[in-house]
Amino acid sequence: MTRIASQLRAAFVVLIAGCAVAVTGCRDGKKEPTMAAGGSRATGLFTDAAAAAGVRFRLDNGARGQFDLLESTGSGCAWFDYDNDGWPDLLLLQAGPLPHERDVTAEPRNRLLRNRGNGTFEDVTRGSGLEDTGYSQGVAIGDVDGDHFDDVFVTAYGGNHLFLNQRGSGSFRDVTEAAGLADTRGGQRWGTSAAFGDYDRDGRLDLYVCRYVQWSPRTDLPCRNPSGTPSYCTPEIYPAERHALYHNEGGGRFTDVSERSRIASRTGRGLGVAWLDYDGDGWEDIFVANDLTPFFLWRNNHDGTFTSQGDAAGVAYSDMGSLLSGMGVGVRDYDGDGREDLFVTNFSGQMNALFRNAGGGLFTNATLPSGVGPASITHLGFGCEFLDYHRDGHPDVIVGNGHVNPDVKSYTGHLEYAMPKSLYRNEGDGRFTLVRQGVGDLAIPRVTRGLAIADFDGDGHQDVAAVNQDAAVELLRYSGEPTGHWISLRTQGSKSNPDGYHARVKIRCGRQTYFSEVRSGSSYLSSSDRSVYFGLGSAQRVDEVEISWYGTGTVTRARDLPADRAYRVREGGGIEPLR
Amino acid sequence: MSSDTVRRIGLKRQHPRRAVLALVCAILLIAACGWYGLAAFRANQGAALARGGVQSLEHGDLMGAETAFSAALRQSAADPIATGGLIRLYASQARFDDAAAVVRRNPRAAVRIPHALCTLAEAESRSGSVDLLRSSAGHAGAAAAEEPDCPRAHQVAARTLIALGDSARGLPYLRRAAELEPRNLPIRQELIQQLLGGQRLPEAAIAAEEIVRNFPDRSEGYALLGTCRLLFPPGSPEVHGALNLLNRALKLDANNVIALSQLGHAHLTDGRPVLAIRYLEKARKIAPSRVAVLFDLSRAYRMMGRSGAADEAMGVFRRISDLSTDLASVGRRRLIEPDNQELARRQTDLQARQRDLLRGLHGASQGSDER
Repeated sequence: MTRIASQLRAAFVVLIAGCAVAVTGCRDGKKEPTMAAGGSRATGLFTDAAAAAGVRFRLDNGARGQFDLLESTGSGCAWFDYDNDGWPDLLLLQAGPLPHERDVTAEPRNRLLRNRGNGTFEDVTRGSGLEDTGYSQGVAIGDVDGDHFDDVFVTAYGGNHLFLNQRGSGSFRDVTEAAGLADTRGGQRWGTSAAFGDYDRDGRLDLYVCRYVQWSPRTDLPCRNPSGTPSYCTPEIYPAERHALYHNEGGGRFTDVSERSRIASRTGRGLGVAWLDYDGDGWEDIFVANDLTPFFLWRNNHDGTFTSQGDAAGVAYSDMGSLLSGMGVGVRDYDGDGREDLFVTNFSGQMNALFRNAGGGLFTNATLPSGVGPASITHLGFGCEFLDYHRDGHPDVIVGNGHVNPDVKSYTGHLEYAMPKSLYRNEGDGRFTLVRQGVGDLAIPRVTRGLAIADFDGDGHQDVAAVNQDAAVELLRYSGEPTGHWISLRTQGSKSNPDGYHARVKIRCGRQTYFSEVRSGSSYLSSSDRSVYFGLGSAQRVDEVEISWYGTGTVTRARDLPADRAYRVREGGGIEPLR
Repeated sequence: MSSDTVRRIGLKRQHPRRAVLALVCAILLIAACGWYGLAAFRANQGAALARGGVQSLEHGDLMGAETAFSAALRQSAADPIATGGLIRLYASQARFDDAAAVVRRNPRAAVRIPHALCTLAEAESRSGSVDLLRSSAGHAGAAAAEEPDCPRAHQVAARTLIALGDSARGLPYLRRAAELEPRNLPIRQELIQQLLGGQRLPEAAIAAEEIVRNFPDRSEGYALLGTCRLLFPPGSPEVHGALNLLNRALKLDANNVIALSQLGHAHLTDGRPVLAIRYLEKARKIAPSRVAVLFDLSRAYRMMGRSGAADEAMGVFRRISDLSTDLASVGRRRLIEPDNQELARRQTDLQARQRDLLRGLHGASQGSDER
């Protein structure tokens, strides 16, 4: 009897061991080759130039083994030309330590880096007023007081901040309380992405602020992953939040119009936001990527109110009607039909979504037909932007990836915490291809959160800033072969809003036309350079540029512009080289 | 042994030590016989008590059954009927700690009893707490290891692990369950569903092909294979022929709702809303609460400019979808806070609302058919 029992025990052990070996072997056998294996670093399309450019920053999410949900979302960054010298400067937000562990310190936590115009940056944080903005999350850029110097809005857990640019001096003044934007009424709120836009066409920039969930360190629940070890909770277990819309009254004051505008009529776990005029009626609408709540598409009713149109327009759910875990948003007319489309990053196991604007207020879900969906299934995407890296006139997409749970591999077997970035090449026929080979430092696995783009070195190629959890920030400079021609245009409004946001820019090269709106806020917690950038392929000149300024009826036209230059366009004025 | 006997075999005089040894052996033998007899007696008594417990169970006398099983185990700690009966009894009463204690007291007996651990694991998996789910996974895994040919053990192990979010370990169990019961279509369908949920498309397609092979006259395999094929990247060879497979499924069963909804979805994606509506409306009649159908139908109506119909379908979709989302959210939270009574009440309320909604939808659909 004892012998039988011991034989059975041995057989059980062998069976379990066999299963373990089989499972492990299976995992190894099915492991997808990472792009790192195929990519040729340094000689690839993008090279991390952060160290060489003097960009030293490491995002600390404050994680100390407690798995507070707040730690998982990371922080963002912004490209903006605070001193108007024509070169995009860089603001990097710091998160940790956690709010209840913070001490008051004079040491800068964020980084404001001035672009010297020679490919390097100077740290000008100290004395700027932007040293520490709390447990910072997202950043929005816009000239809120009309002095033609961009101001900075930062969302942070426990209180947001508005900083007015002191006329490019490198100093910013915190005017949050006077502006009414602290968002501290009713306890600590969790603001995430934010973006400036002018919903009532009064020429002043209003502000949309996403909120994530109703959460505090006291209400954080102890969650475990499938293997039983502590991990971050799914956000589903925390109630979704109402979002905020603030109207710019002028004189440095904002009014919370969330109720009046009906923005507060719905709740969502907001993480990404972008303004766009999806129905082409000349009034800006708002798209919001929510995490495990239907996405919002707020249609502007032209009277200060909005109607939720995500369901009707076909952008609230996945292709099969299931909820998505929306993170970042990219907006661009990827198929050249004159209408802006939407790209949204999602959780692993879901697909990054591509919503093609079909006109008439409707979108078709192009996630599968375009190919972006299947290629993203094993990635958890956060920051994302359209960019034209090989300047053929067809906007491509870059995505920063990285899982939420550091030990994800232990219970999924195939997913990694750190993931390479994804570069989707637009094939020009409605399809995208994931570029797997020769992407350079994009192939290095990171836990990326915020991501923003700008041509920081003026070489005519768009570069990428990526903020990574508990790792150095990356400045991914285009280092591939020189490709087609390009043009970029930075708008400055006079009757329209000072940044020229929402202006519709059309350019024509021969029979080819390109279109984009002016914006800065999109991606995830981040703001890209607001200059509108077009790849031109082989065209060395632009036959015609037409800029329709938002809300004023003003149209600026220019003909026969040389390509490969950055221009500044003034409403009611002309077009001139940016620098 | 008498002195006369000893004398007769001549041991006392020649080998007194041997005589002592023989005496001791004899005593031991007698003791062993006595002990064996007693054990057999107790085993018999235990078995009798256990049988009594089973009878009590059959008569619905749970308390009597528990008393009888416990007494049986006191008589015979390894009694399989009492061990299995008590585990099942405790599991049915959600007394998982007591059931687990029985397993711990007699692990060898527990794993030998067909389906006892399975039953416990199944009951634990329904309890709604993460700790019990983990316990369930452990018991189901042990049951599957002990009963490698038992599909149910593998199915329970798979479902529990998948509920814990560990589909990497859960799927092999489900696959094994499907192998053990090649004629069990629901298990195979569940496997494909899980593979698709885990975005393991090629494996799902292979599993669907197996259904087609094993059940060539049934519509399910063709419908599932067509569904899988449609999910491959456009232009890839796998997509080719997907619509034919779905149409084949409809030829075998004109009411196959998967085929109807997938054909509707495919035509909608390809910009043919009129055709899509034809399939989707039929699918809705058969399955009025299927969210994917309602969602696609709303989109198709919208493309045709039928805003009223689109809003109506989207409204129903939202009601079902929002309720499911709320329920999932409460369910997940209850896994962390199993003793939160407010959550328990909310869960019950949501479940009742969901039941009412679905009953209403199905009733309305049947009513419209009768009219």
